[in-house]
Amino acid sequence: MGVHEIASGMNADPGLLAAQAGDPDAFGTLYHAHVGRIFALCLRLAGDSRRAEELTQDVFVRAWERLSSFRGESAFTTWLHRLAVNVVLTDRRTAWRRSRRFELTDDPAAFERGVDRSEGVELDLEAAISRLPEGARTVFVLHDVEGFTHDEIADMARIAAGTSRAQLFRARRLLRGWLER
Amino acid sequence: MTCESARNLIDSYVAGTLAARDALALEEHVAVCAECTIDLAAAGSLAGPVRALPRRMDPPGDLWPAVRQRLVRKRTPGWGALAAAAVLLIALTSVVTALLLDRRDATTASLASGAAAVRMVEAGYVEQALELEAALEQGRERLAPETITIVERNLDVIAKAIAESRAALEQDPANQDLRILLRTGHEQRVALLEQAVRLSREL
Amino acid sequence: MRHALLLLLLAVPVPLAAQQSVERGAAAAPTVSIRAYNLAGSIRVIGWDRDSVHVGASVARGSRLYFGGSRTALKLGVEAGASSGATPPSELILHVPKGARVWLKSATAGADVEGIDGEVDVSTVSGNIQVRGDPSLLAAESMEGSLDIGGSASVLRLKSAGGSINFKGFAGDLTVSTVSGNIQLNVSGPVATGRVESVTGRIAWAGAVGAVGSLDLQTHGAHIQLALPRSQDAEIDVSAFSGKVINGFPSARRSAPPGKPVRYLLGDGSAHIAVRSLKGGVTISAEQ
Ligand SMILES: [Zn+2]
Repeated sequence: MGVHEIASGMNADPGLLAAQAGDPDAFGTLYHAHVGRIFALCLRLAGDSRRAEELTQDVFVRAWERLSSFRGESAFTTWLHRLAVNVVLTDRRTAWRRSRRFELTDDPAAFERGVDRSEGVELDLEAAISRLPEGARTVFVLHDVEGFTHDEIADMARIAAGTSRAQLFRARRLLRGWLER
Repeated sequence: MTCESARNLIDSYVAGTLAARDALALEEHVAVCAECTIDLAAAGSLAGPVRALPRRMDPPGDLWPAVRQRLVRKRTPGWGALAAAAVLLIALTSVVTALLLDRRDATTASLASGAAAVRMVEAGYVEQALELEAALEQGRERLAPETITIVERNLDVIAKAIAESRAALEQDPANQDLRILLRTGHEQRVALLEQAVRLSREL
Repeated sequence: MRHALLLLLLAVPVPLAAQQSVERGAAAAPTVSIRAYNLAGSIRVIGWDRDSVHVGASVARGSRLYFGGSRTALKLGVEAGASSGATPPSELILHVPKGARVWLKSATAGADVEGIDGEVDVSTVSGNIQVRGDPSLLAAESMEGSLDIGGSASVLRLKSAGGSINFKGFAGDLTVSTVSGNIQLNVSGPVATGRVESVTGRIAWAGAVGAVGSLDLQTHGAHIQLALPRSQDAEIDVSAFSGKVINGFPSARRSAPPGKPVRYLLGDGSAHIAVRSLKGGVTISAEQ
């Protein structure tokens, strides 16, 4: 499932070639074709809509900067998704302390926008995913939703494949527990 | 069957792609194992809902104008200045220099696959480190000299580790643990630079 | 030697007269967000059972205490005067509601926190950090200072480049990272997710990993010591490239699956532990 099914012949796409040559409008077409999937990925990995918007922007800016290095060995979609995962996981390092961002914005109201979620309310799957601990959420989204293998996740998230497997089972147990309550 | 091997079969069992003999072995194990019963039930009950999740979701607002603006900014003179700073830093940064040499020297086939493995891991980190080093250079006078010494000492330790991990990965390009070790070196280097840049802005 | 040190201490002008005492107080919500900063000297935070914040400060001459905000968000700190050179040290003691969210920032000042249940986030350059209590989330980061943490946190993030990290207590999700600092973790109760990494700092882990839990211990060039309870169920993958691997866990069964590093199986192997070191050795043992 997921990313790997899509192996379109986008390499020869004139729009892609134009974007690679530095045409921002051609890149705009690529952006609009892919933004929905990239935003969904960022949202599920970040668990926060505002953060996901920032990350989505970062992904496309980075894609633009790195477009010349895309050689068409894989489908463009696959390349872009891997790039997106790297952008999100790398971002965690900076945002590993959520408070950082508050400090940078220096907005006292930002203190109040915490991650408070009312307990006991019935959760849909999407909400339950966003509630998972970060490590478990990452692996669940990448493996079960996006279709990456444990080996691929291991490389990207710098964890052992066995760790990825353990996190996946932990995530599923938590999700099932919440959804059935 | 151990729990570990049972777990490895659960996904294909749920997907219905498991060979009959393995399916039977798994069922036998699950029948006597409470832990694996939980895992099988969780996988089974989540598979459908997960498939039904939307693949695409539109961001609440149109992000393209903001993205577009950042694209333009990257290609204007500001970028040139950054590139100039980068050139200056390359001379000082052994990591980058070594990487560029890798790119040039990757002529023989075996070296090429080692170098390719290194490139796969390092893609992006080098640029990121350069940008951060440029930012740090700008904020340098706001940092106490002792802090700069601390940062540089730790960067040296990390640079040495990166060089050793890279050499090891070049010898054994398929080794996942070496890929993770090299990636960790870069993560730590970038994290330290980010911490230093933050300090130069905040304190 | 001792005399010389004493003389040296006496020779330094003790800036008692240069300090001024300042006290401030304000009513606060039980979960008030507090941001406090003091670059040099010390900063101490104590959780109490009152819905108020009290600050007692000994502020260096030329510096002043800033204090402002609302019932739900407070900001306070020592602002150094315009004089150039090193910031003179000030002492800051805060009493805050137990449930407060606390952000502390310092350069050389040591930070000391106790009795807070809310989120705690401490950052220093070279000041040592000590935390006692059970914050829901604890993030402590230093460049060169050492971290000494005791208590419990459902999420724990500890980081220092050059300083050592010591943790004793319980944590559900735990991330610990140093460059050259040594890491010593004594974890009571099974961890759900642990990730511990250093470049040249030694890593010593003692504690259990939960049933579907995972633990990644990684260093570039130092020794890793992994002590697990005798009842631990786990699959342990060990990649030591040039260091020696010593297994002192009596019941561990060793195997080397094709294309994999050395693997030890304890019990059914339900938790996953990965140990990685490029140049250091690895010791596995059963907890005493
Ligand atoms: Zn089992």
